[in-house]
Amino acid sequence: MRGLATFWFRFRRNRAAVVGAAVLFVVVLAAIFGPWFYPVDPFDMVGRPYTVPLDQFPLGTDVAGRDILAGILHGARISLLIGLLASLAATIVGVTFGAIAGYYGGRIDDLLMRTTEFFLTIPSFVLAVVLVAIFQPSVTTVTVAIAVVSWPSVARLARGEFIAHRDREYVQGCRAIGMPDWEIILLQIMPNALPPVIVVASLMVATAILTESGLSFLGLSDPNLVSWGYMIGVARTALRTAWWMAAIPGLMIVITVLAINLIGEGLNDALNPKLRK
Amino acid sequence: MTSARFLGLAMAALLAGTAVTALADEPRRGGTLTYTYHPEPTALSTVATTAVPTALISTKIYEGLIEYEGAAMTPVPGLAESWEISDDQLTYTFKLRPDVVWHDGEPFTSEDVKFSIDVIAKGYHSRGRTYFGNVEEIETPDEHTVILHLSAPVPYLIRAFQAGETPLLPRHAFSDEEIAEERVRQAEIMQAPIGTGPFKLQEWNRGSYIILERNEDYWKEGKPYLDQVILRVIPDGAARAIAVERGEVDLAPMTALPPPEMQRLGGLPHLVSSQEGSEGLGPIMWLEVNLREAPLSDKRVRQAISMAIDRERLVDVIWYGNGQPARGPVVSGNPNHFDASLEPFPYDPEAAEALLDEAGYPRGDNDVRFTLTQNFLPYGEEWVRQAEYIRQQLRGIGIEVTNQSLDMGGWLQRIYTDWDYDFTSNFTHNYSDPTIGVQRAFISTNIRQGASFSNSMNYANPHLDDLFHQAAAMPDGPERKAIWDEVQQILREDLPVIFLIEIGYTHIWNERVHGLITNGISMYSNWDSVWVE
Repeated sequence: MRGLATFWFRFRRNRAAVVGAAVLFVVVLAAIFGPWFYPVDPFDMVGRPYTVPLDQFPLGTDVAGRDILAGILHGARISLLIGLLASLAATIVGVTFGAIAGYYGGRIDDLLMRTTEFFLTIPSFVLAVVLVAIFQPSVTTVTVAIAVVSWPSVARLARGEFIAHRDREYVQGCRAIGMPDWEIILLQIMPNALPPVIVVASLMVATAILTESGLSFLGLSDPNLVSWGYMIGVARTALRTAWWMAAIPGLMIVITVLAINLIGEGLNDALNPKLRK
Repeated sequence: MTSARFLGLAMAALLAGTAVTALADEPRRGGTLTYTYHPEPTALSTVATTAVPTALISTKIYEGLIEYEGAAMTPVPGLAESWEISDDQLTYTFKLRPDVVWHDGEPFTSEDVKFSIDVIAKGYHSRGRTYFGNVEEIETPDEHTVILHLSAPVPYLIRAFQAGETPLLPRHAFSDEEIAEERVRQAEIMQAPIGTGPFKLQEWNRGSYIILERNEDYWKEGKPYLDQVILRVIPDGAARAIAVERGEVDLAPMTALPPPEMQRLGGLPHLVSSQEGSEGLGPIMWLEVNLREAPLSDKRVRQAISMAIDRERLVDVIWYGNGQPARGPVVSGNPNHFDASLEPFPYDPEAAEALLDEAGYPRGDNDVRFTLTQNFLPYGEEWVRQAEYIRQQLRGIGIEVTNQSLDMGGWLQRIYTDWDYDFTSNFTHNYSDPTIGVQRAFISTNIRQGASFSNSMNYANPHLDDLFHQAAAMPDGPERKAIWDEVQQILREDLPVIFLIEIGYTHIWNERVHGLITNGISMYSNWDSVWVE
């Protein structure tokens, strides 16, 4: 309890982070309950195309007469879902790699780190494009592709933390009483190594949302689902005649990614107080 | 000759409206015409595929035996400087020009013509059998005479010698093995063409551009006017429009731009927007359906799908009014063959649902009757929007649809070679006669693996085949018209494809370009009299 209270106290001191959290909260609420309160299918041709916002429909219609508000609400689900799942998967894989490499060192470390470096040498967006293009775009392949290009940075970070901890006295104490390796890794070092990882993972969500948007802008999204990047891609053909079609989902991406970044900053303040000094 | 061409030019100028100054100006020699079309061609010969991107560029490189002038497509001399048709219409004698050479310098002879008809057109072109199925023997008494002997009259045969329809290919570019093993479509010449046309391939930088340069040895004195014809590959529709607007690209033929941009560009003073010059094509769009498996093998299911689509809405919203709902396989603009008694297809989702219930496909889990995969032509954003609209409409009647996007090569492979699809959007050209443009998609003898825009559906109806055969051997008149009416009614009832829209082609070009509109297939003409200021 006390730990949480301290965390909140420190987090709260960063005003921007609080604002970010509030904004993200609203976006998440909209994603979860929006389609329920506003039950319009984002692919349904509900009216004339190119109607301006605040006329017949709150945010107007797109090039095929589809409700943009419905697209924003349904798109929020996909964008957030892919962002969260991809980051979660990347964190789990990255921490596992990093923990094993950092804890055991030696040949295992070499093997795992060379693998990681292999991924780090390829520009991540290009790799994501290639992966999605090969395996046909769908929610699963997009999520997996983003996770695949995101985990190496987490692995490097986790490895550093584990190397820093593995020879500390408390770890040696654990070894002395015969505690198995997995227990040391999971129950002893992990809680101490996790805070910086959480900060990086939170920022990764923002990057994942951007990557997903970039992919769907290029037409590499699940063709059966709406996402914000897809909406921008559709509006692209009408950029000269109806700029707001692209601007609205674009603004949503900016707001959400900014909010997540602010939260990441706040988490950093709250979890790594020493770094500030 | 010259006066006829001048007349064509003047007509084009008048039609174009703003280009009236062309009347005063003499054609100028030199310069470059840059056009854009998406997607990039997969090959440079219509023998490989008759898809629009390929037909657009290959018709500048290859020629047919004769040429055509005006919207009515009047045959005029070309590579054949004269021809005679016997009174019984069974013998065609062509006299070839003696001074023609291929792009590689070899002389063009009657052997090449015989080879192009006998081996290439008959064996590989999607309409080759329609044209030349009755050709029993091709005689070449000397190097510059070709005689076709027919078993029965083919009234539309004289229209078959267009560059895109029956391109003339050099016999010496194919090895005997390639011909014997039927590897003509894989031959090197499909990618590195050797023709007789006014332009020859200079460079093909895949994914970026194709440059054609003037054929200095072209047989027409003083032609072509242009030094170069360049195709610029610009995958993004909005970027294509901007390139045209800024003058980086001179021409966007055959609705190559997204409709909203076409509307905007059409209003700009330095651009000309025209729907003329496609009278001989008659483009029609449909959903091509694989009939090999249930549930699409059931006629009632196809009728239900047809009734779930609001064609008026499709034309208005997705295509910005560029076209009109199709009423059957023949476009309504064809005065001689269209059955005017045909009503528009009904839009009635409720009746569609009743039909699906009756066919034995009730709504099951999650209200879904069955699931289908939809492919679509990779020709641009409108095709994706249309696929999304159709998916929504079919969902409404309980058919779950998954959209799958493919590139041009993948699409051709899947639809015409693998036959592995449920349904896909597609469009073909009617041409001036249904025997040419309609029959090929529905006659059972055209279920040919690998032949693009053939009968991929596996539709076989012996009675219909019989009607096609009858109509093919008959001159136009009330009797032939009655056969075509019956064909249209059968296809409307059977729906081996779901007819959607008669597309209207719009060409947009910079006003510095002159002489583009010459006949009913202007974009498939060789552009030898096109010039730029």
